[in-house]
Amino acid sequence: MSPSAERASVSRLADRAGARWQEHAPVSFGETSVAATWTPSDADEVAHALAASAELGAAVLPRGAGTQADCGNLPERADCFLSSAALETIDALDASEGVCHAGAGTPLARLQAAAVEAGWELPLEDAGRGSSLGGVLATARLTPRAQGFGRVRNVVLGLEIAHANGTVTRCGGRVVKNVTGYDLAKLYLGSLGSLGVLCGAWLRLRPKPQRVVRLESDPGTETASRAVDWARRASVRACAVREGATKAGAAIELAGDAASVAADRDALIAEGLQEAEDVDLFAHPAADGHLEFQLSFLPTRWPALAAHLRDLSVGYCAWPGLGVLSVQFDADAERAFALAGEAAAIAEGRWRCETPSLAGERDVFGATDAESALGRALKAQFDPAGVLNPGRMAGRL
Amino acid sequence: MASAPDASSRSALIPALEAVVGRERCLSTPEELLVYECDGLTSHVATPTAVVFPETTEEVQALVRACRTAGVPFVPRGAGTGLSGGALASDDAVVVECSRMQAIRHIDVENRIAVVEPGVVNADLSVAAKPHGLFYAPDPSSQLACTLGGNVAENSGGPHTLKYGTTTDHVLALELVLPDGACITLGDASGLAPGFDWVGAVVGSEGTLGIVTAMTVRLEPIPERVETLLAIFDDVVSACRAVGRIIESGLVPAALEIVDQRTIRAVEDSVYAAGLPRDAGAILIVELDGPDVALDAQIAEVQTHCRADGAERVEVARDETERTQFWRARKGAFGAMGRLAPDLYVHDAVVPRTALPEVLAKVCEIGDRYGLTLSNVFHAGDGNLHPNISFDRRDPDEMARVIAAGEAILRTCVEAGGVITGEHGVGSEKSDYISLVFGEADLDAMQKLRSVFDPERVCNPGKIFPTTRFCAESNPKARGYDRVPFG
Ligand SMILES: Cc1cc2nc3c(=O)[nH]c(=O)nc-3n(C[C@H](O)[C@H](O)[C@H](O)COP(=O)(O)OP(=O)(O)OC[C@H]3O[C@@H](n4cnc5c(N)ncnc54)[C@H](O)[C@@H]3O)c2cc1C
Ligand SMILES: Cc1cc2nc3c(=O)[nH]c(=O)nc-3n(C[C@H](O)[C@H](O)[C@H](O)COP(=O)(O)OP(=O)(O)OC[C@H]3O[C@@H](n4cnc5c(N)ncnc54)[C@H](O)[C@@H]3O)c2cc1C
Repeated sequence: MSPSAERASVSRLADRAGARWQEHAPVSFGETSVAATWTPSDADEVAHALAASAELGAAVLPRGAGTQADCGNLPERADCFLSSAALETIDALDASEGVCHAGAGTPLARLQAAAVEAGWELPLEDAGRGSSLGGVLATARLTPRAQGFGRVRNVVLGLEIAHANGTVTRCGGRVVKNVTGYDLAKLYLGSLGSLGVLCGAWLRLRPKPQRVVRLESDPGTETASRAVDWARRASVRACAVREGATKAGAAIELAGDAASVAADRDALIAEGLQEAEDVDLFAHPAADGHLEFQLSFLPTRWPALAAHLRDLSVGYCAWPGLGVLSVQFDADAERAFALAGEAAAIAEGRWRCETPSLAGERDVFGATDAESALGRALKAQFDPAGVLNPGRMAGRL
Repeated sequence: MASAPDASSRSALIPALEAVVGRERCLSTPEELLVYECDGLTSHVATPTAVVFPETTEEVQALVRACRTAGVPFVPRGAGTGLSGGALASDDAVVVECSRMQAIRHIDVENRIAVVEPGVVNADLSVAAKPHGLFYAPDPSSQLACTLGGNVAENSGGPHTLKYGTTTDHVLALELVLPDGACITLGDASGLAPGFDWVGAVVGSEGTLGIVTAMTVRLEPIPERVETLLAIFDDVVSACRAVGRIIESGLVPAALEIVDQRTIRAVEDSVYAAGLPRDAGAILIVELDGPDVALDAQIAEVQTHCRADGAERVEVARDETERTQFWRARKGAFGAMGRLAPDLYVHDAVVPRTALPEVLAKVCEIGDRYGLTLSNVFHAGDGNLHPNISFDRRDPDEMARVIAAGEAILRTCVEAGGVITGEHGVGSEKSDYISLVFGEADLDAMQKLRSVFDPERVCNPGKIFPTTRFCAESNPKARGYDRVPFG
């Protein structure tokens, strides 16, 4: 679309949105930038906004709290943000059932606090980022406590989604066991808003642990190899191991019934770990200008992978219980992508670039296999006009 | 649907199938086909055009292409234990039975994964993994017969779903022959495959998106210790309350199963007799597993909770023999029902766990209202009901009452916030009832996924989606959607 046509469609979107349209300083994504936000107030309005955008051919970037606004590939086109800010509700929190329903714009921290107050725990985490529920589900990112919590896909029971054809649909339900129809929720989770906008979700809570203990190890390279065994102890909820210039060592969180936690705590202390008030389970934030990658690895490939990264003298933070690590390469994009590919081959795993603005023209998912042919067909079914986060998903869908 | 095949392409089909698998692995005479006219749901029958038994992925591909050329649809099938008519040969389909694809290709002990073919019987994988201290967690009660391919298609659960989750939580990658004959791999063992969660979408799609020809699954370490408790209650409502108390206390048992009085009596009258008190109102089986140090406290807690709800006796199995005996009452229940009447209709619906007492009362009332013998055995911790109706198919009036009561039960469950199937699938049995749960737009979204894999609807036609749609007026849930998110 030509720039003038684009401007025309943006002004017509503004007309359609009325009071729910706000212009602001431009936010840039590579070559494109966005200077307006549409904030519908319920799922039907989200669907209307999408239908209007599809009609005008305007590209929409769904947005939660914006903490990972440029995750995935950079969008190819962008006319406005579609914010979930007005979808902030906790509609149901059933303390005897252990399930809850909330709107996509609800800050995860607020939902987490409500669950704890009801005697449960929400098995999703945002590490104090201020993420929205919708953003966490749309990215379905692996975070360290996924070892104990399970992945995002295990937590979501049902979803409401607004589509580019102007409809709102539901999938799944509110009960924990359900094989009624296709399990479409799996497709929407982690789809980075490319198929529809998540408006609300039923989530499964888990019992609050009787006891939580955090431990850390002294820095040392030996830690890295032993941590794989530590991570497999029954009550380990998260385990992070780091090697690098500024920090090294392991951080472990135990959670669960008091007896199992006590037993694992004693065993780990006998191995030389110490109890700690607080431990950092997350990777260090990417240093400016460094390309960051997430790599998966098979547990048996860990020694070879760790040795390889040590030889390259690059720092990493690994979650051996999940078989994932994040690593930064201080190199130009071409070399960094090549290094990621080499490391993944050693790991018998996959890589994904987490710093899209530095990736240039490359697909940050490194994807283009049979799956992206299916992906294209899926995208064409759900978003034929290509208005939802165009280009962002793997395979530049 | 695919365009109607002309007679000549259809008559060329059998030789084309035989060219792929040989005569001995292609059944096509009326007598041979008789066995395959239904699965575990005997009330729905259809005669297939042929039944073929591929042994390799390439053979599956060639068979699918032959069906396409002839314009005849095809239906994947495992052991045929499905209870919702999922493997029914609708539209004169060819049945592609995967039971001969039985290799456990690889068990990777260190990485705790296995690569298996779809015809592997569920229980056989755990047997193979056992020497390595591992097991495959999803354990449908039919696990001695059903196949892993069928489990993937139905997203099967079982008694231990409460703690370990259903099949979808254990499958990492799938090899799938698409309805156009191409073969693709979805997902991978790393869990970081780029793009959409295709494995998640295919698991539970009831054989309508393609034929699974191999899968990579996760294996779990065998728990250090397992304890099984049996609590005896005066009535089923007290047993349900105890379940609520256990879950609210923060315990996560491996299983929480309830067997009601009618079932207890049927079991005690049968070869599965487990020495249960015949006058008990209900029994609750609680299984706890995990690290040795954790279990003593948990056993004591479960006993306290059960007694608080009036359990007269709470026994802990003293040894493996007694443990097996407790489970026999649960697992033998379906078999024991065979004594009550020639046929058994095993329903499968889910309600929020807290609604169990109220819904069970309504379900029993429905049974009485229709003059039927109804008994309950169910996964209480998941709210997954199995109301079983004993009947005689030869009595058309009784058959009609069974169908009507079944619909009334499903409506009751949906009204309580539940769904029409928790583990057996929609199949052909409930395709007209799916509209109780999902509206037109929701079903259209599912059809969009179908179109990605099977635009011509040649793979397992007639399943999941309504053939006649309920009108919105007769659908109380559909009207409530805009007010309450899913009821
Ligand atoms: C690269 C990366 C690194 C991360 N690192 C960490 C970490 O270290 N610790 C941690 O706890 N978490 C981490 N996460 C998870 C992260 O916290 C959440 O994914 C993220 O913050 C989402 O919340 P948000 O509301 O800010 O989403 P946003 O940043 O607003 O959006 C993120 C993506 O989701 C889409 N989206 C947002 N809302 C919706 C919606 N309602 N419907 C459809 N699509 C929507 C957006 O279009 C965008 O593609 C990471 C995620 C990514 C992608
Ligand atoms: C006594 C009894 C107890 C049961 N208990 C449980 C239980 O506890 N939990 C539970 O979930 N189920 C249970 N079931 C139902 C049934 O056993 C399961 O649904 C099982 O997964 C079916 O496996 P199967 O190999 O028999 O599949 P089939 O019945 O042959 O087929 C079932 C479905 O899977 C599809 N399919 C089969 N193979 C493939 C393949 N390779 N690729 C693609 N699609 C395929 C078919 O098209 C069909 O739609 C029980 C059944 C019985 C009879």
